[in-house]
Amino acid sequence: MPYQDLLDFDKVGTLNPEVLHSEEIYRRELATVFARSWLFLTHESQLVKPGDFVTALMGEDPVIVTRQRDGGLKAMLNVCRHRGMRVCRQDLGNTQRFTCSYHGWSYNGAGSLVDVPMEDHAYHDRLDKPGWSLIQVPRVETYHGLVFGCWDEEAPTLADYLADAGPLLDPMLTRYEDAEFVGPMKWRLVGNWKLAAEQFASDWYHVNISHASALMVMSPTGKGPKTEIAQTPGRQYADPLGHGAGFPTHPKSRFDDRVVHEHYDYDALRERLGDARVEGPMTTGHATVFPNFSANWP
Amino acid sequence: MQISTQAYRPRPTDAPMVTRPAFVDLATQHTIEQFLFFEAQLLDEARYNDWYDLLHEDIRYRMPLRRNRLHRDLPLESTGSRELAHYDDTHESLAIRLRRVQQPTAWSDNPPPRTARLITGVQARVGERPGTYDVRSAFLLYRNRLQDDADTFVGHRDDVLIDDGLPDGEPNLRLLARTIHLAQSVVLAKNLGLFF
Repeated sequence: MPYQDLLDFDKVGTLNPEVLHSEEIYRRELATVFARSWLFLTHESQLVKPGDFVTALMGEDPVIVTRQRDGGLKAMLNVCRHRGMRVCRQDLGNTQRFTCSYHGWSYNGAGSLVDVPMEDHAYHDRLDKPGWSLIQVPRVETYHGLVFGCWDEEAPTLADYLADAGPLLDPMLTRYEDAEFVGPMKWRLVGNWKLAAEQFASDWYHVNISHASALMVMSPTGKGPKTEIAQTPGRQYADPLGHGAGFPTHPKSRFDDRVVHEHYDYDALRERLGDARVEGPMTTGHATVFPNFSANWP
Repeated sequence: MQISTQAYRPRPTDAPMVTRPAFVDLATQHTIEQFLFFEAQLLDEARYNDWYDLLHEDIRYRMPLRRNRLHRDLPLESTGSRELAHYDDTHESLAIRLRRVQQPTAWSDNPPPRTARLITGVQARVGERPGTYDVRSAFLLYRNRLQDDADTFVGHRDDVLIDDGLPDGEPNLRLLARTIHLAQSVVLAKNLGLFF
C-alpha cells in the first residue's frame, strides 16, 4: 500500500494504524528510511583515544564506530566478511584488532582485513585481503560532537540535513561549554520505532497529564506547580525533512522546583545564549532528528 | 589445587585454598535475613512509607549500568560510584520517588503492579564501620501488571546495614547503602519504576 493511502489529510488527519503494526511497512522503511537517512551513532566524547570504539545500531544493522590514529572517525558493519559473524561483541572499549570468534579473521581499527588464520593452506595465499575489509559506512559526520552515519552516498551533508532542526538542538548541545556525554544507558522499547520518534518530535500537549505525578512532587509545595507555570504555552516545530520538536516558552518549564533549576545559572545562560533562546525554543524541551534520534533536555 | 591463575580474578600460584569469609553468627544472620524479608514484604505490599522508615538518613541507593566488556576489562563492566547509573539516590531523592509513585496520577502504578520478591543467598559479614554489616543477597523480582505485562528482574545486591540499637538492647537495623547489580546490560523491561 502506498504511503499516501495510509494517511487521510483531507478529512480529519487520520492515520491507518497499520503504520505502527505492519511488518511489510516496517521492512520497507528499513530500505526507504533507515538506509537513506543520517542515523545517530554516538558522541565524540565516547571516542577519545585512537582505538576507542563503541558499537551501535543503524536500523537493524550492527556497526562499530572507531577513533582512527589520525583522529578521524570511521563506522563499519559489525559483520565478518567470511561467514557473517559479529567481529565485536562488546559495547565499548579500546582495541587494535577486531577478531572474529568463528574462524579468526582479524580486522584493524580501520576495518582492513589484516590476518586470516592458515591463509596459505586455506586460500593458497590468493585471498584478496583488501577486498574483504569490513563494509564501511560511507558517510560519517558530526554535529556539535554528535556522530551520525549514513549509508546513502547521495544524501545531503549532515549540516544541510540539520540546517533547520539544528537551532532547536543547539540550546542543549551548547548549554555547557565543555560537555561530556556519559553512558550509554540502553533500554529496549517494545513497539514500532515511530511511537517514540513521533512523541519527541511534537506533543507538548501531553505534559501536564502524562507527567502529572512528577509535576506534583517536584513543585516547591509538593502540591503541583503554580498555575502560571502549569499553563504556560508550549510550541511545536515540524520540519519538511521530518525533524520536529516540542518545548515550553517559559524559562522554568513546568518543573518549577528548586531542585530542577538550582544548577542552572540563568543569568549566565541569558548572557551567552540571549533572552530569546532562554525564553524561546530553548533550554528545555524535546526533539527528534528524523528518523529516530530523539533528545530530551530538562 | 592449582588449575588456573584465574587471569581475570587474579589468584597467585602460591595462593592457599579458598576459605569461606568470616560470616556473622547464627542469631545475627537470622536478624539480618528477617530484616531483608520484611523489607521485601513492605515493597510487595506497596507500604512505601513503612519501607522508608527502614532507610538510614545517609543512605546511598545505586543501580549501576552494566556493559558488555571483555574479560580483561571486567572491573569496568559496572559503572563506578561517580559514573552514570540507573539509580543514584539519596534519602531526599528517594522520598521524592516514593511520593511520586503514590500519586493517583502515577499512571504506571495505577492500577498497581503485582510484585513478588525472592530474596536468597544472604551472606553477612561484619562491616568496616562499627555497628555495620556488609550483606550480599540474591534477588528475583517478578512484576506483573494489567493483563499480560510481565517482567523478571534478577541480580544481587550489596548492602550495608547499620544497627544503632534500641534502648532495650534489641537490634535496630537500617539500610545505609544498597548497590543493585541487575543482570542485564540492555534493560529489557519498559521501565525500572520500582524499588529493589
